[in-house]
Amino acid sequence: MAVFLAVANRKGGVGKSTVAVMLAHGLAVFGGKRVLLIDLDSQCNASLILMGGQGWNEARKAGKTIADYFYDLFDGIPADARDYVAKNVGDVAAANGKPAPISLVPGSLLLEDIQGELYLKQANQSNVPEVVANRVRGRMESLIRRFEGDYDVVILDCAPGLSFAALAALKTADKVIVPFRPDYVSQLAVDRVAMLIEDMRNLDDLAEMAPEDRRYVCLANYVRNDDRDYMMIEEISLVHPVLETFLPQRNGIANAFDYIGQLRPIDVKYSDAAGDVKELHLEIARLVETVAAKKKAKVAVS
Amino acid sequence: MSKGKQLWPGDEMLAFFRAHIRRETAVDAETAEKLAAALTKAVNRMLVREVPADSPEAPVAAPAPEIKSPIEVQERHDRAENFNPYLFSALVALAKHGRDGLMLRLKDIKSAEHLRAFAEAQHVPVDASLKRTDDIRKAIVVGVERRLADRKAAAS
Repeated sequence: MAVFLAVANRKGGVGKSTVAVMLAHGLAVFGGKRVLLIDLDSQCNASLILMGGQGWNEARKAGKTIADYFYDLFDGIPADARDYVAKNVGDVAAANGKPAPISLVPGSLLLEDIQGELYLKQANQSNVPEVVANRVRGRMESLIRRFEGDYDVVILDCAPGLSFAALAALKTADKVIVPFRPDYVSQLAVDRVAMLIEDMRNLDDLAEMAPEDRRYVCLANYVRNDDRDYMMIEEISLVHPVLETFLPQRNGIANAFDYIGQLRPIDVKYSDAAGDVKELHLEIARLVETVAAKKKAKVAVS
Repeated sequence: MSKGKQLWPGDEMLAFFRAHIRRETAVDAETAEKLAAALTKAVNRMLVREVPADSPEAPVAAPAPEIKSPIEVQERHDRAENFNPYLFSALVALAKHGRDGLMLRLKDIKSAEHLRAFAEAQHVPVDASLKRTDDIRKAIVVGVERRLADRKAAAS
């Protein structure tokens, strides 16, 4: 039974794809987990980091992207979800020297168009926009859940904004990781996405909810080592649970975007940021274990 | 009139005024530049030239100027620069400890200059006409309350 982690924030430029890939690398390499990353962002950054331009292009040509998956299976065409998965992607080696056990459902530039098409298709069956939207989102949610059986962790890399796919990911996720930059505008963005995840109407009600009961946790990214940034993190912590780990601005993180198509140890890939990946993994691994235990207990009860 | 010795070079003075105007006011860059140039001219005329003692134009008993010497001004400026306006979050202090708690923390900041620097760094507007430190502190508390309300409104 997989744990679903969504990496989401309505705001762009906060490092969602970088964090999603770092989590995949950490969980697969340090934790030995079977990881699937589903690229739900039409910018396809996570796919490019994990497959390189050529690999991603081949997946597009073969019709093996998330847009193809949603489109093909939406109306119940009997296709196997596994056919849309690229296995052992990335240029990071596991401890045994083999490729890290990371699989990917590649992103697609057409994901937004496909969502529009699916909406129009459903609109033929109902003229209530909310009903149509819920059907599209609900169907995407069930399609995302189909990957549950084969992996320990499924990471959903969401696009900024609120597409049907992003909403489906937020609903599916056992835990949502919300990366943010420590600045004023990001603070407001975190407030909004958190209220959406917890289905709250105002910030005061959200603040009263126990942090451990929340389905999301925030991650400070691009942190400079100065008091201004720490102050902003403190202001976010006022209302939201924030991971103890934060990601500083480092060349190692920026350079890790490069796909070289040749396996290398994780320490080499992340160079001066390798310690950050390890630290992030330790905290997220604990989170994953807790969620997995709760899920198992819930299944046992039912 | 003898030119005397210039104690505070014009370009330094201009930079000093420019920086202060930009930090303390909301005027646009062009206006800031004009103001800085005008102030530099005015101050240059009245303050920063050491008139030689033997000059016939030397004032016999010039009253002590209100404005501090350029060195003292610079030192004060440096002190403000060294002040850390992110020592604590006013927003967090208000949310956790209320108005009185925030006011208590603000009392630790002694000078008007530092209070203004603190307010500016924490996105809290304070009326430039306020001079007394207590008034600035009260304005900060009101401003932070507004910021908190703003955050809640933006999220709803």
